Amino acid sequence: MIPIRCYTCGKPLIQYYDEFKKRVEAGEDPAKVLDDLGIERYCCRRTMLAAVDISKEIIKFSTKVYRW
Amino acid sequence: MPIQMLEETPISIKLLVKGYPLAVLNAIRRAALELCPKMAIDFVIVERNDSTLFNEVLAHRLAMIPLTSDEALDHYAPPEACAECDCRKVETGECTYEGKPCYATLYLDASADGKYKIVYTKDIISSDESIKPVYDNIPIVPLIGNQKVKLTAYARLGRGREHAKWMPATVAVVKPVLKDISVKETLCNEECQRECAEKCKEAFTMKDGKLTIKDGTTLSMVMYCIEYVCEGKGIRPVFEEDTYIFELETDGSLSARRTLKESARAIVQKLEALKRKLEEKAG
Repeated sequence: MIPIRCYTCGKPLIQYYDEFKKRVEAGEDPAKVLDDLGIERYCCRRTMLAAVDISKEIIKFSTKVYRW
Repeated sequence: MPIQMLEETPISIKLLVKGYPLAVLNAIRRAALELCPKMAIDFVIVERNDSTLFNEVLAHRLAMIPLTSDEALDHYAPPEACAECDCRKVETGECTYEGKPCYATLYLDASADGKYKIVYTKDIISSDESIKPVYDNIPIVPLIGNQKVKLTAYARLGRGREHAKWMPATVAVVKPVLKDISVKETLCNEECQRECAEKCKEAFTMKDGKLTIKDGTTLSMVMYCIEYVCEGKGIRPVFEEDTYIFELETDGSLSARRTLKESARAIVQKLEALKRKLEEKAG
């Protein structure tokens, strides 16, 4: 999972991630999307740009649940 | 002494402050970061966790979620009173101070039901209406198959010096206001100044044969030009006396105005404590 807050300043960022990902994958310029979402500082921008969500990759290897 | 409001939104505030010493503003700035109380999840009792995240990671993610605490500041016990609380007392709800409870309880019970599912903050159920996550769409944990997560989280008021999750402010800055630049003629003559103005058109201009700044030039533009572009020796920024810009931005748990008020109150409390101690010593 990607971090909830910006590593440096502590601004909550993850609530924008779904929209950010959707718009960037649709072909929009990431810089423009970040401006639209109101993420101004470069610490927040790099956290958002560099975040890679690998939870879908590792969840395949989770142990099977046999309990009740 | 006038304080001028430059910008205000619910979570950020920008003030132009005149006539206050820098030490006072810096004290408020630091108090906003480490003394102003806010609500955050302190500890979690995990009943069941089948997800790929460890209990500790899950608890850390939960703690990072900003909780609305505008009302909680009045209804819950202060952080210092709850520091000694026992875990078992908290579960039974015995932990109180002067009739005010210490902890708020939040429940999370989610299951994947056979498919891939992300648990969001909107799935959290709070025992107190006034304490809930600020944002509804913060992903907490992914689930798959018949995985389940069931936990009880306890939130309390705390201060930023204890842990960063209790820091209401994300940005708290005091900066000086740029007035002009001063140029030492012995180090940078007219030719050197003209060269500088040519290289750095965005920041500088020549006026009556002297180097001056343009309207709207910021300090960082001037410093960038001085240090990297024209390397003009003897050029120094000049600041307006006793005038500062105070900027504050919060993570949404408290409004910026409230954070400012609570920080000032925290400083006053500290000063009163110091005064009391001194009087005790003096007898």
